[in-house]
Amino acid sequence: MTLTWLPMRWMIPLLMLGTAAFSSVAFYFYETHQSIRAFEHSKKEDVFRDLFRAASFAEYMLLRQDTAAVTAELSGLATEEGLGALVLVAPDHKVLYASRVAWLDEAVDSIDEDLRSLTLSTPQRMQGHAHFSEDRNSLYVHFPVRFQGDESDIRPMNYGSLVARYDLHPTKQQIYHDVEARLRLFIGLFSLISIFIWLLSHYALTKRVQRIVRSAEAFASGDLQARSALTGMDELGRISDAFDQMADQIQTSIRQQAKLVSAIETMVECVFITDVNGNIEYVNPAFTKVTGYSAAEAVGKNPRFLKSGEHPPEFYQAFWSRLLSGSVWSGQMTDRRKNGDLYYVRSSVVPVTDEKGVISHYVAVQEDITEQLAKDEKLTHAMKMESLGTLVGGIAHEFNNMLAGMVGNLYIARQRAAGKDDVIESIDRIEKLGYRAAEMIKQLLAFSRQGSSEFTSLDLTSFMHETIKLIHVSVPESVELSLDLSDEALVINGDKTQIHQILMNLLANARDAVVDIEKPCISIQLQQIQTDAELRKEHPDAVDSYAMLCVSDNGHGIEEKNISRIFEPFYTTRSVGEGTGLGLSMVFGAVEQHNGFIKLDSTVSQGSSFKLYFPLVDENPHEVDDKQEFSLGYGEKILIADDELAVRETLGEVLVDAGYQIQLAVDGAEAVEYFSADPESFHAVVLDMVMPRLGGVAAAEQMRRIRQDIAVIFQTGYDHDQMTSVSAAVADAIVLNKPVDPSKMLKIIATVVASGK
Amino acid sequence: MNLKLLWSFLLLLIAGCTPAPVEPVRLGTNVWAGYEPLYLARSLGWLDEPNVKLVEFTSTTSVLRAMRDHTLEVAAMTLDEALLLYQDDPNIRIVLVMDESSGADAILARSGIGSLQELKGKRVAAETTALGAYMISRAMDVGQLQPGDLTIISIPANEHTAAYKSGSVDAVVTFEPVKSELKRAGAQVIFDSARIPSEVVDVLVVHDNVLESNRDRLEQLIAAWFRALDYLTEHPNDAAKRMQPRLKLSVKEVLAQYEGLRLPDLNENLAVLSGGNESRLFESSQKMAEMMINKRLIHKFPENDIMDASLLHAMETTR
Repeated sequence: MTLTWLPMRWMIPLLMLGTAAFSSVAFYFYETHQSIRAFEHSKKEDVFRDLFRAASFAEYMLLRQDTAAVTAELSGLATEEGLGALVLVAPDHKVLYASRVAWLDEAVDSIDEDLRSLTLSTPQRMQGHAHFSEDRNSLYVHFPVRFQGDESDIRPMNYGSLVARYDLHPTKQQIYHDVEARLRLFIGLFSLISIFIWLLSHYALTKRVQRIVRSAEAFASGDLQARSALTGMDELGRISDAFDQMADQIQTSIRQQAKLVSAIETMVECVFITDVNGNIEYVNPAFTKVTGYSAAEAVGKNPRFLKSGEHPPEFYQAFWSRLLSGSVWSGQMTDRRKNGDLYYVRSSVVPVTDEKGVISHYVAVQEDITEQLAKDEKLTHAMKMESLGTLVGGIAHEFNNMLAGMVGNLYIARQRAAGKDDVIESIDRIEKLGYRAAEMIKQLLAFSRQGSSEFTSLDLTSFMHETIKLIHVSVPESVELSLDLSDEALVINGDKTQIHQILMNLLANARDAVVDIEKPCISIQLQQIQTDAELRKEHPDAVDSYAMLCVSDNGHGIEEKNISRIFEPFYTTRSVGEGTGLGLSMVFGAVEQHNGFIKLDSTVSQGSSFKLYFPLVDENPHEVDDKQEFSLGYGEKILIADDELAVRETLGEVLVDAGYQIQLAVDGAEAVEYFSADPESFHAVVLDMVMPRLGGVAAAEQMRRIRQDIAVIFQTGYDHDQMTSVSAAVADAIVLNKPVDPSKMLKIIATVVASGK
Repeated sequence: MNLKLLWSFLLLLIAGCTPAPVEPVRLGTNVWAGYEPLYLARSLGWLDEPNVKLVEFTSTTSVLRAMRDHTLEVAAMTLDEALLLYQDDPNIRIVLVMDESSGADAILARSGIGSLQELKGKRVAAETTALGAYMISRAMDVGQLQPGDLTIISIPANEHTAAYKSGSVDAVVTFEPVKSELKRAGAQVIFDSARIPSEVVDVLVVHDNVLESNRDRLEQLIAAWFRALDYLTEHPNDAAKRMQPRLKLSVKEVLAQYEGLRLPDLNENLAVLSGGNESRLFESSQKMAEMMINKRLIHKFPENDIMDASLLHAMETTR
């Protein structure tokens, strides 16, 4: 039996008290019984002896008839302890002596019943005897006393009796009382010892054990600081030491573990741990974020619920054979989110072995690279466009110059072949082809953004209202053109020319798409869009509001496999000669240049809709001054350098007409020569950037060394980007893209001349 | 909580204990009408029995011996007996005057002996260990007799009748009820306590330690005494009937006993007993002691602290 149902500090004293109580009861019964018996025995003896003496004396005196002596003797017993009554009865039943005067000389009838019956009883033997009453509270003593008989009697045979009754009750009560007093002492002593033991165990044992218990409980319920910190060399002190050391170690390892757990929990990569059978035991929050499955949904399942179906069975065979061999698997895989979307991960799966070297778990770490891939793709696309643009721009520039020469020569050839109709016919055909080439080059230039782009605050609404009037004619009458244009002013930072081209391209595509359609319909829509959560999800860096231009048709739509490629340059579904494959590329590039984006919805045989989003700006639209206002010169001298004769001379004529003086140079070197001969005579220089012998920029730098404040205007057939290589000396030069509108050129020259630079 | 339980357990243990038995206060008397109101009170159930136990003696000698040997705590006796007891046991206190004899004590002689002078040369029975000595001394004073004039035979009171009847003595110094008995047998009174008023006084004597330890019970005893006196006055016949078995007299005779006795009430008691060495009883005890010393009956005077009226004062306040 284990005594564990009470704390020790109670158990020990209570056991002691219990023992004390039990032994007290036993002691009480034993001791009272023994004491009472001993008392009865000794009382009986004493009383018997006293009465024996009294009876002997009485008998002796009675034979001498000296009753006075008998009375004197017996009255000596009157004060004896416990004596209830003492009676001497003569043979004639007359009371000779009684402890009660009232009974004296009376018949025996007058005395107490118990005594009377005793005196009347005839003892079998004439000898004294003592006996107890039934309740043993009274002791009776009876002695036969011989009296003097008749004188004739030889031997006196008359017997009276001496009877006495002793009351034992008070003495017995005293005995009980004494035993109880001893018992009280005994119990008191035990109680004191118990209290002492309780105190001892409380301070030496229980209190200290409790401290250990409390700290252990506190530790178990999460208080890692809990320590018992008992002092002392006893066993409890050593237990406390051991516990505290253990707690230290556990705390350290729990902290370590917590660090690892929090690292895993806060990781951006998904981490999940499976058992050896592949059932998931743990997933981190990133897992839920990436896959959409909560921990509760994932735990206990095999990760194959993420399978996308994009990988062949051989992929998984290789995957498992690598893992089962104990090696780490790393690679890229495609999985499926809870919402059904595919996602791409770069994953590592590590088999974890137990102490015996047997694989017990697998830990998988997956990095979601879906966005990264999309970005990479975009970047690749952009780079492709960039290099293509450069290539195409370069080619187009050269071709343009060549075509200009060709067309000029064709003009001379036609003059010289007058009358030779067959030759003229060939020349016409060549010329036609030349124009087609020129048209194509124009498109190529547009694609490569080598056309001039001028961004201004543009009210797209009024612009659309204007433009629609012009482009309406490009849509056949058989096609229904529905317009839904906002009335509000939608101001964007835009280039009119590019937007015009965008619209033309989209309309051309739409128009082609609705050929053969029963009720062809093209709709153009312009409205303001506030960026909502969905839009922001797709374009995280979207601004708050956009102007949305939508061109849609009910044509035959675009097949899904082609959707991802339609913005690629030179990609076309039309037959050779019908399209350049640059239209949508141009649209894509232009929209990007406007910091916007395109959303395409298309369903085969139902139609397509291109939604173009242009960020709105909080500016007033730039008022376009339609009035041609030429700024005129007053004999100021302008130095012009261009290796193209046509360009050089045309600009010269325009400036002369406007009232300027001019000096023409064929390249940068000649320009520097003219300038250094008389630098102060020039008010501004206009330089082509790319020229043989000495380029425009180098020439400008040399001129600035001669005269620091000379105003410089560059003309270029390339993009602004080329200016990145321009040195600080000419950083303030104005750069204009070719071809330059003569009126714009005049305005700029007027401005710089007026400002003295 | 457990401590509370422990304490209540201990308390229960103590409360459930057998009380120590009370040592009874034993009061010894011989048979004398002046003491009978005690037995009247017992028969009326007014005594705290068995805590107060009346021990019945047939002679004062036994009472004195028992008192001297401390087998009695309280005893009724005459003043001279008290002085006698005082010689051996000075730690006694007189707490109550029970009666004053004015004729109940007497010297009775055979016919033919008519005066004290005629006792010359006669044998006189007397309980010389008690009042008898005093009575005979006072009688000799009054009768102008010398110690050698008569033969004094010391016989305890219960044997007086027998001695007289057997003719072994000519006169008996005795008291009621023997006095009446002898008168019936033809003896005549030649001297009685009426001639020495206020000298034969019965008092209640207590050991001083008992006075301290059993004061409550003694107060109760005194109260029962006065109550019995009242009963005797108010219901003399019933009281006499209750006294009969001890006195062995008829109702009429019992009542006649009290003619030679005065039973002082509380106020009279206080008047006599209170005041220490100023008290009247102390004065008479001094006078008596002087006489007794002269007769060589005793050898020292009592101190004034022998008189103790504290129990009477307690009665006074409770009334």
